[in-house]
Amino acid sequence: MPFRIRLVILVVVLLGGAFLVVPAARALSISPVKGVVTVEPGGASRVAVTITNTDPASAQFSLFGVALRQDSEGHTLRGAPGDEAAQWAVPDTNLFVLESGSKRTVFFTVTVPAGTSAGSRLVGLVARQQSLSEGGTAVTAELATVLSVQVAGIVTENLSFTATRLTPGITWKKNWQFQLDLKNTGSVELTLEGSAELRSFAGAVLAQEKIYLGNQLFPGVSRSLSQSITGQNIGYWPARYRVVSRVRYGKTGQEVFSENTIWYVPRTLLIWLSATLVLALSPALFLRRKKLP
Amino acid sequence: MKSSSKIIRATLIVMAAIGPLFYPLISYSAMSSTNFRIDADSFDVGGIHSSSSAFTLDDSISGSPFGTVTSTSFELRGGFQSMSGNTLSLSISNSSVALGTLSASAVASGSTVATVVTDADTGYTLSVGSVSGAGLTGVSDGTVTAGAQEYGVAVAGGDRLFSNDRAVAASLALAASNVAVASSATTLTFKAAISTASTAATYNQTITLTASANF
Repeated sequence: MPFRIRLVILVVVLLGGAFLVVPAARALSISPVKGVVTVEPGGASRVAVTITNTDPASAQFSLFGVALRQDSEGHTLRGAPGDEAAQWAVPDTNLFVLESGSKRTVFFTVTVPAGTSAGSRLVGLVARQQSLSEGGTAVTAELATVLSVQVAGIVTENLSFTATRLTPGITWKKNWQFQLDLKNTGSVELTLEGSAELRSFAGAVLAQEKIYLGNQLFPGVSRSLSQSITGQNIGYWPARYRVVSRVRYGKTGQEVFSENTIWYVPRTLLIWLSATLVLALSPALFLRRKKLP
Repeated sequence: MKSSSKIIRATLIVMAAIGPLFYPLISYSAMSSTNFRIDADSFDVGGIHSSSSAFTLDDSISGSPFGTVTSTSFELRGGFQSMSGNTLSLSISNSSVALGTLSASAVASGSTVATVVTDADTGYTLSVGSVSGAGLTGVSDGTVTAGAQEYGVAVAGGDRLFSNDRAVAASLALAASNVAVASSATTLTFKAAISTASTAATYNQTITLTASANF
């Protein structure tokens, strides 16, 4: 093979190799992703977490426990370093190296200090893939197993509506928007099941819809939801209707409800009234115009 | 004498018959084989679904002994435990985002893609877990603009939670889903701009992206 052809092939191979270089990546997985542990004040529980290195290269992992919190949208976010539960979870080992594709199970000990009040706290068991890059903006990946640590004792399930709104107050449309603001004022997380009933002003149920209220709601957390209900089986005359929002919550299956009212004026009635008005006034207008010189 | 030996024999038979039933209560431990592993096992001795017009209650009689029991040779931490066996994965396409040399006439940007996979039925949240290092002033008006000293992040993807530029800060939720996702990619574009009055310096930040299941 001539030297020039061999040189061209070499250059092509070198350039191709350069484009195949994969930038430094981070990839890991964790299991389980969430769970519930019940611990007495002054007691502890052990939780196993399996971390898998799904990165193409070996990587170093650090493990630690953090406090988590839930925001008003139901997202699980990192809590403040000073949160009560920030130091509750401690791993057996906090640093190790995993080869690509390999996994390791590590136990965390979740210790609840004596004297802690009964109720649920969110704790994260975190595995972080250590950043090896230096300089620039480094992006590091970490995953958290979310634990609801239920501190044993007497707890309460309580949910309240902080506000409900139905807009607008008067409408000719059949699709009505209403806002629900909920707050967990108890001490444990709550499952939520919602429904909205459309009732005539006399109280007859005209329609019923299930409403999605999101994942579980943790103590002290508020949630604001926008929902809509379609006016079904409503009459052809203006009338006042009631929308009753019901939320069934928790293991005790308690229920809270709120009621809002709306005036519905059918569009067809407005058209009919306008047409009638025009028809009623047109003879008078005709006569008035005829009398004019 | 003969009757007492009968009583002892009967007692031994009864103990042999019912003794194994109580054995699991005192052998609480992780179990595994070549095909499975149970790390969070628990033995219950009862439980019932109760209901009335005012409440429903799913109770269980378990965790015996509840709390911590120790001796010279063992320590037992008893209690309820319920773990989801799902998996959550996170991969980042590029762990180093270089914004280059900044100028007052243009917005510098760099991107990375965070991909989340989970079979958790409550979905996931991708957020900024922590931020360290020296950064520029965080954007506050929703847009990183050339000529103003600002630094922020924009997100793109089906699960993104905002559509403007936000300051990079701990606990900033970036993307989320309320259901399991086969593969959800979110592109994070970091943007920086300086003004003519900005101080010349080298700025570095380490941003930790946290993915966790929703509860």
